Amino acid sequence: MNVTTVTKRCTAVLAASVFAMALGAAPGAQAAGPKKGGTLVAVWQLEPHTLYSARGGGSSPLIVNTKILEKLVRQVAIDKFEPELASSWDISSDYKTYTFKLRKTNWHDGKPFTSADVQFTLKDVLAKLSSNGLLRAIEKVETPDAQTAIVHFSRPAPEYLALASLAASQSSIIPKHIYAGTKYSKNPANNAPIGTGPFKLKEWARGSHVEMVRNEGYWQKGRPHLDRLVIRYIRDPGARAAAMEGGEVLLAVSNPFPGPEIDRLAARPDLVADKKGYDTSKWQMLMEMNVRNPILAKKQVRQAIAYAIDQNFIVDTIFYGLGNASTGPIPVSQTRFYSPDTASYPYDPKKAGELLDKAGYPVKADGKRFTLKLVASPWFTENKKTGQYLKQVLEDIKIGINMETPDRGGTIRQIYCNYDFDITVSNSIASADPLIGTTHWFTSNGIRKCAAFRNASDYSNPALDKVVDQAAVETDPAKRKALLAEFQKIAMENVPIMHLVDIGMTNVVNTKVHNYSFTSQWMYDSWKDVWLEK
Amino acid sequence: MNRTFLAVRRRLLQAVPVVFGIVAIIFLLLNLSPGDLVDVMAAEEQISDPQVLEQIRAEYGLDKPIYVQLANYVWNIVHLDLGYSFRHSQPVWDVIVERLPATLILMSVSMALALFIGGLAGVVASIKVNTLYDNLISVVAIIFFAAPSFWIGLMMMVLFSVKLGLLPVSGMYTIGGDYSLAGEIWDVTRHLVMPSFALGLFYAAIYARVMRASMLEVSGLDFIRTARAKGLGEKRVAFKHILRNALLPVVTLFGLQLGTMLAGSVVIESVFSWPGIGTLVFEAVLTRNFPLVMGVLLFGSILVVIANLAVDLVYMRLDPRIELR
Amino acid sequence: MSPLLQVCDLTTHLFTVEGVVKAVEGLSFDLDADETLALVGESGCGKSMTALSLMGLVPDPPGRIVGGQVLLGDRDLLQLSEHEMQKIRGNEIAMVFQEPMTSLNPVFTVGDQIVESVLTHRQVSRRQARERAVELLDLVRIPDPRGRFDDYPHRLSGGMRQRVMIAMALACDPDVLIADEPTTALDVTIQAQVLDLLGELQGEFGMGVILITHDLGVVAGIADRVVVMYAGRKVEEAPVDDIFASPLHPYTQGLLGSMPRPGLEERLREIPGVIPSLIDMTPGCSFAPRCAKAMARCREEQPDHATIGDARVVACFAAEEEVAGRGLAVDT
Repeated sequence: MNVTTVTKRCTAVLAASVFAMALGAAPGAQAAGPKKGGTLVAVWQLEPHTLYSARGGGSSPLIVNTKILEKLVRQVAIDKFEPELASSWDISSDYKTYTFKLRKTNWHDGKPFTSADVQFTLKDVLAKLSSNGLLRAIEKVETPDAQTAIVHFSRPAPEYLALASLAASQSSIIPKHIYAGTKYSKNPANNAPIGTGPFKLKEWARGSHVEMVRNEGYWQKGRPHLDRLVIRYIRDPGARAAAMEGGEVLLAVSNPFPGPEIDRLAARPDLVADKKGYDTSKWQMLMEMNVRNPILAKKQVRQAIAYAIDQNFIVDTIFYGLGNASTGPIPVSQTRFYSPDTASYPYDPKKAGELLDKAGYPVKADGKRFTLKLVASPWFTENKKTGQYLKQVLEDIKIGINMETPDRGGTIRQIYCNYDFDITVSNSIASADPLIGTTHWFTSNGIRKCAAFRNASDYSNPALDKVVDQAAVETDPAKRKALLAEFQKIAMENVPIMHLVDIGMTNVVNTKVHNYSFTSQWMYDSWKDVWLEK
Repeated sequence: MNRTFLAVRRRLLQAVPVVFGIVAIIFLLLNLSPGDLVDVMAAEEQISDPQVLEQIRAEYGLDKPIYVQLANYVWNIVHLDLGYSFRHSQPVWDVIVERLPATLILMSVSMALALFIGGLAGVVASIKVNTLYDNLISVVAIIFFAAPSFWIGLMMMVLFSVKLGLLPVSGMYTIGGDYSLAGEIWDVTRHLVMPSFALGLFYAAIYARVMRASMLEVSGLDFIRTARAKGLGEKRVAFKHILRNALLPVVTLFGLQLGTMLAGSVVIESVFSWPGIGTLVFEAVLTRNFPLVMGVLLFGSILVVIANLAVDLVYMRLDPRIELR
Repeated sequence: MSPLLQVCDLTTHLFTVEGVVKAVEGLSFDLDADETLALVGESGCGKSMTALSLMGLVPDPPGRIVGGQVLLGDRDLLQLSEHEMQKIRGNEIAMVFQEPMTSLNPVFTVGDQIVESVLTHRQVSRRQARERAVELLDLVRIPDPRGRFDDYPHRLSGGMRQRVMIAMALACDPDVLIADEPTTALDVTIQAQVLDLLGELQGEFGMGVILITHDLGVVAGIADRVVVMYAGRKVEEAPVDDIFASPLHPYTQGLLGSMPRPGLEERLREIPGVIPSLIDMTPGCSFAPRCAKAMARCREEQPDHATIGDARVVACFAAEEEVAGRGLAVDT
């Protein structure tokens, strides 16, 4: 029997924290107890192309399907995990085997949820399609009975990384009886997901909204509170604000309006601006530097450019103060892994000029040291403005800048496929664990042609690679934290990518809504705890 | 009428090569834009394996040379197959048909409003030429002509929905409203008011100006003097004799603007979250979902061809001197 | 018996940005029933403006009738409201315009346009109006009137269209028919046909006809009396035979001299000079600058209308002297 080496220590700790959480009642619940019923209408800017994609598919499908599908584990805070489809789990002492006890529940179509579904999802879907190295390292999943799934990794899986990976929004368990043997990308269930979650899909009115209703057979008694959950798609920020003001929409997540507009709305008595719920899903704005360019291959030049930028100006002027200056690839708010012990680049254009002189790039007769191509991506409206700011400050230190702002498809092709840039303005999202989505911006194996949001700089440093490889398998949390601190140090010393801003995330919420924003990636939470005042 | 039928058939047949020409041109133009669907999907889905990308390209037929892709596309269209939107996991036809009715409703109501309001304003302005009414109509027309329609839309939204609470902010129907058929029609009508005015008023402004000029021009013609000499009242002269002739340039303009109205509806649909084809095609262009873009544009060009034919038929009814050839 | 239509001191001005154009200035004449009065003059002399003034159709702006009377029976048309005037137009006074090609509405059938005239003034059914229209088309000698009824104007020739215009004008048995250059735009052979038709219809209907023309040749065949206009004024009025036999006013003489006449082999003479601007009128006779017989007085004083005999009127100092020399009674 291969579960003999299992230790029991983790479950108790985690379960205890969950109960504390539940008893302490989440923020916003200060009014009398939760009320059952009601329809919550939330707004989102982009209609998804499909409601589920086995590879994740981006935030628009995820914000919907995380209400319908469930993960084994739910992350409720940076350091807190809660059982979801798994009622408990044990971890073997070598951290290669995770044994999950599963809940007895049914899929929305009435078929029972079993360990076969977990096996199928982990082994046949995630291990094949995920971009997360740890999930790809799933070797096999054993199913001794319908309520037990034993996951074997090919290498030691650090507990935090493993739970964070399984709790990630893309790691939802999908029904084997619907997907097995089909082409995942063409399965009709992609547009009408069948899950185990608190909400069932009622209707996707294309171009308008997705309507979900309470799953009466949900395994957790008394949840969800809501009768109905509607996600409306309103592309125009002004129209979103009007819908919010008119009370047609009660909840808008993930910076739904420009900064000043948020202040204006929050001044209304019926609306509040809420900044919680993004601790393990934080957007950052960054500047990639292409070291294929021999000039940018020099560390001094990259550092000089870093000194030339006033990050606080970007935060204050372009982001209206909503956010903070990044100090590296791990946002300050990710307290578990954040390390302040790194090289920093306070705004100092004089020093920038000196470094460039020293690096052998004095100002030439034409008044420039050299000229760079800047590609500002369109994912955030602030990116283009930041690009214009970068052009100004870099021209101040006599670096010529040609700025380009292609559209979405064009940008992806130009930056991540053709590598046709010198510097960029782009964005990354910092997940719970840096190994999930952060380190591959820097590592050698992050260099994959046409794979977007990875190492496009072509930066390659064996020392950094080694630290990251060790962190991937180090099971001692303290040692792992030290390794990731070292990763931040090397990254910031060499700055192939300069992280500019930890973007402050804001939700705008109607005061009728309670019990929101209490998990660390609440946008992708199932919202089963949310309730409405009548 | 039999001659008309033959002419209509001939015109429709003539439109076939035109439509195919449009298809070829759009196809080539689209393929000039950098990046393809797979790039966008790879970015969204975090696909990191270049081999997987090549597999997907092969699956979508994007690995073949452009002319082969074009030939395949045309071949499929001949078989009434608009292709498959991998992004939506749905055939393009299904994606479009689901969204087309909303756009058709919005466009036809907007156009009707534009023609009615613009036409009436133009007639009034021309009858009351150089009076306060005329100047007022001119000023209002200039405002609606110059102001961007999305701004008009937002202002209407703020006024009528947020401040006055008279109309729903956006969307096409009340979500979860269980109505009878009549209730549903009323519900959609209420949702339709602002978007159709926001879209229609721009065109109404144009029609008002053209109508006024056209009415004034016609009112100076000899046969209008004849009508007056018969002893007809001014209203009858204006609405029977002048209007019928003055409509001709407006109808011409109307036919020309059908295509631009389709483009204008993209903006309005976006502002009012109208679940039509406009937002769909906008998104499709950004994600390089070319089968869908092609499908929508194909629909659009067929729509314009048919609408122009309809305009010609109307023209023929309005002016007996014109015959359909 | 009082005349059918009495025009007294009709004055119509056009108020333009360049100044006041005195298009019609103190024009007076009478028209009897069953009489054809020709209004003759060069283009721009105020003939057409006179016609529009009678119809109450002076385009305003810029035009306005500033004085005078137009008496139809005992009513002064100039005092009527627009609404009352509408009941007169096309009913008691009808008009045929110069341009048959553009005077019919291109988008309605000729039949409908005649029917409209009938229905405007007569309480009859559509069917009766239709019958009347066919009758009228027949009356103006249009072959196959029932077939033509549904034709659009563009399918008819100019002559045919002018016949339709005449039919339309006659729809309500008008007392007065104003024909403004009805044949100018037509081929010569067609001209004669249309003029003959007008003459016949005048007899048949017993109307008073005002025939406006610049062509004295037209006048000879059809008119009973002639009013010659120059620069907005009447310069001479006489029975048609007298005009041709002994024109009194130098302008009338000039007009006749410029007209080809059978039997006369002499060279045609043209009237030297051009019509003066109607804005800056000289104080004297407006024809004086072109007049071979002009005297010093002519340039200072406007000649009054002098009645000569019982049927002639002339406004010319030279003519007055001439006539007085012949011993005829001159009454100014």
